Amino acid sequence: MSSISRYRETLHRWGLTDVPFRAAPPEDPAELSRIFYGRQRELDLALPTLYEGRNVLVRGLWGVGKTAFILYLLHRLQQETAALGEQMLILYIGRFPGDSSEALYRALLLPLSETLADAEPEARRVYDVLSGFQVTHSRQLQVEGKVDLQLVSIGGSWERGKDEGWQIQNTYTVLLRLLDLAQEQYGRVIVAVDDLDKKVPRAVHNVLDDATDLLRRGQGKRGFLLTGRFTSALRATSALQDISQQMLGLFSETIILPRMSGDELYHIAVNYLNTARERPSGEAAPFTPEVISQIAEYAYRIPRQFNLICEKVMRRGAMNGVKWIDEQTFPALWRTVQDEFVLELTPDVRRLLYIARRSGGLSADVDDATLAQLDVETYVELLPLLRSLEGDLLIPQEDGRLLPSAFLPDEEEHSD
Amino acid sequence: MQGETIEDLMAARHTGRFRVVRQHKNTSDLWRQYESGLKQLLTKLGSDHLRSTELLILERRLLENLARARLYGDTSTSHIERAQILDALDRLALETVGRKFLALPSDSTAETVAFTQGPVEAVSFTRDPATGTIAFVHHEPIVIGNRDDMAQRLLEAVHEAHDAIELYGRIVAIARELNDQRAEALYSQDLGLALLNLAESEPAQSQAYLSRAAAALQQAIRLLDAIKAAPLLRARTRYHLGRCYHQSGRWPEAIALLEQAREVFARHKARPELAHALLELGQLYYQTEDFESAYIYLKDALRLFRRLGDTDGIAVTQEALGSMELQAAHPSDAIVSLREARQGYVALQRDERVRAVDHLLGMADRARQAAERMGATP
Repeated sequence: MSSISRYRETLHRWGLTDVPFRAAPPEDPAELSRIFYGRQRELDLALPTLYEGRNVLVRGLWGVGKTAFILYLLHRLQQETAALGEQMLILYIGRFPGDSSEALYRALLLPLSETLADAEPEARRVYDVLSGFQVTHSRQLQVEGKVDLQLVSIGGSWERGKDEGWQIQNTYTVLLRLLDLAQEQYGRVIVAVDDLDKKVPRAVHNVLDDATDLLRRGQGKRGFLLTGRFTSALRATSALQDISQQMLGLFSETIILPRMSGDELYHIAVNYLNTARERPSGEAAPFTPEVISQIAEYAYRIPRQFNLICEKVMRRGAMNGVKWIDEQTFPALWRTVQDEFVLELTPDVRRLLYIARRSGGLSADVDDATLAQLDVETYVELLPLLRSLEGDLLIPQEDGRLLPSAFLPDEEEHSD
Repeated sequence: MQGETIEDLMAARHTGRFRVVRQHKNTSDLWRQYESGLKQLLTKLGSDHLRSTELLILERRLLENLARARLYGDTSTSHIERAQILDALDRLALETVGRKFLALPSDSTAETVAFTQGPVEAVSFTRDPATGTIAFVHHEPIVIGNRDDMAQRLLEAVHEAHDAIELYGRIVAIARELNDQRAEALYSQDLGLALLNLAESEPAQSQAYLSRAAAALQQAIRLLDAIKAAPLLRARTRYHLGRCYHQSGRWPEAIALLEQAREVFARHKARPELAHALLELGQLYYQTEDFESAYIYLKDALRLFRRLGDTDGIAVTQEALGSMELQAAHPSDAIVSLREARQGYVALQRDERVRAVDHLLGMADRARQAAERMGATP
C-alpha cells in the first residue's frame, strides 16, 4: 500500500477528511467561528468598547491567539451591529510593509480608498495612486446587512513605485479626510491593525508615537483595535508601556490574553477535528484526553504551539496507520516529530536552543557563563538572532524568558 | 625658543624652523605625575599623621578615577571628579607639607630632552593620551615654548574648560593649515569634548556649547571617515557625538550614532566603551519610553560595569534601573538596585547623588509598605 493510501485510509478510519490543525487561524471569520473557543470575559470587555468607537489594545504572548481573538471579535461586532440595524465599516489590516507611521497610514488608506472609490472621487484618485505601488494586497469583503467587514493583507514594499511618480502628498491629511468621509457614510468606522506585535518593538513605539493624534481623533465614532505583545525583557516594562499609553489616553481598554487552560485547548482540538468530520463529535479522537493534556503542557498552553504539535503528531500517526494516538503510541510519534524538527536546524541555532534550555531560558538577566557559551559579551548582541527565532523556535514567557520549543528533543539523545 | 607660542609655531611653518622636545614617556604622563605625587605625600605625611586617613581616602578615589579613565577614556564625569579630588589634595598638601599637591616634585629622573631641527611640513599632529594637547612630529612630542611652562599651561587648561577650548581651537586651526586631517580630527574631537563638558557645567549656556560641540564632533567624524581611521577611533567619536545629541534632545540621531558605536565596541570587545555606550543608550531608550530596550541595555551595561569593577558605572546604572523599577511599581526590586547605587555613590563621595538616591529609596520604601498593607506582592 502506498504511503498516501495508508495515510488516507487511517484518516478515513478516524472519521476525518484531512488533518485539520493549523498553526495560524483561518482568516475567514465564518470558518474561524467554528474553531474559536473561550475568551468570553475578554470579548465582553472589548465588544462594547469598540462598538462605542473607543480604542482597544490587545496584548499577549506570541502565539496566544491574538489574531484569532481579533478576527472573531470583529466577526461578532459585525453580526451584533448588523442585528441592531446599524451601519458600520470595519477594516482589518493583517500585515503591511514598513515600520513607519507613513507605512501605517498607507496601509489604512488602501482598503479605505477602495471601499469609498465608487462614491468619492478623491478616494478613487487615492486608490489609483496606491495601486501603482508595487504592493500586493489580498482582500476579503464580508457584508452583513449594513456592516462591511474588509480584511486586507498587504505585501511588497511602498518604496517600489515611488520612482514612477506614485506619490501621495500629505498622506496623513488625506487619511483623516477619507476617514471623515467613511464616517459620514457609515456612521462608525472600526480599524483593526493586527501586525504591530510582529514588528520590532522600537518601530511600534515610534509608529504609535507618531499616530497618537490619529488614535485620539474621532473617539466615539472611530475605534482602533491594535495588537501589542508582551515585551520579551521584563513584565515590568510592559506595565510601564501600558501606563505610558494609558496616560496618553490612547486606549480605553488594554486586554491581556492569558495562556489557555488545558480544558480550553481540549475544546479547540475538538472544534478543529469537527471541521474535518462528517458528523460533529464532543471528543478529540483519535487523540485521547490524556495525550491532549500532555500536548497542552508541552506547548506551554500556547494555542499556536498546541495546534502545531497536534498537526505534526496527527499527520505522523496517520502515516504510521495507528489506531489511536494514546499513551502507548504517542511517545514514539512525538519522538519522530522531534527528530524531524532537529534535523531542520542549523548547528548554531541548535546550539543556542540547547543553551537556552540548559540555562532555564534566555533573558536580559542571563548570566555571564551563558553569554560566554554563546560567544557574546552582551545580551543586546543576541537580539537580532533571538528576534528571528522568537516564535516557533523560542517561546517568549510572561517573565521575559525565551524558552526553546517543545519540539527540541532531549540533549543527550541528539548531541553532535 | 623660550616662550614660544602656538602662533610662533605657525610662524615657524613659514620659516622652516621649529623646536622638538623629545620627552621620556613617563614624564609625559600627567596621571603618572599624580600617582608619583601621591606616593610622596604619603611618605611625607606618614601613617601616624592626623590627616593620613583623609589622604588615604583621596588616594583611593584618585587611583580609582585614573584607572577608570585609562580603561575607557576620560569621561566628563571622571574629569570633573578628578578636578575635585586634585583640589582637595592641593589643600591637604598645602596645609600639611606647605606645598600644593601639583607642585610636589616629580620622582621621575628618567627624563631625556633632545632638540632637533626639521622642516615643518613633516609635522604630524596627534593626541597625547596623557595631556591630550601635545603635538607630535613623527610620534615625538613637540612642546611649544618652555617645556615646564607648557606642561603647567596644559595642566591648567585641562582644569579650566574655557582655556582648553581656546587651546584646542587654535590647534585645530594649525592642523587645518598644515592639512593634517588626522590631527584636525583628533583635536576637533577634543574640542567637542571640552565643549560638551562646559555644556554640563554651565547649564545656562548649554545649548550654545552643545551646538558648537556637535559641529566640532561632526567635523571630526567627517575627517576620520575620510582618512579611514581605525574603527574604534571612529566609533568613539560617534559615541561622543551621540552623547552630544542626547543632551541636545536630538534623540533619534543620538540613538543611531550610539548604536553604530556600540556595534563596533562589541566587535572589538572594547568593554569599557561598550559599557558606557550601553548605559547611554539605556537612558535614551528610557527617555523615549522604549522601556523594553531600556531594560535590556541597562542590564547589559550593569553586567559589564561589574566585570570592570567600575563603581561609578554600577552606581549610575543601578540608579537608572531602580528608577525604572520604581515607576513600574516594583518597589522591592527598586530598593535592591537603589541600595547598590547608594553604596557606590557613598564610596565615591558623590554626596549629591547619594541625596538623590535617598529620595528615591524613601519613595520605594513607602510604595513597598503601601503594597504590603494592600496585600499585594511589592
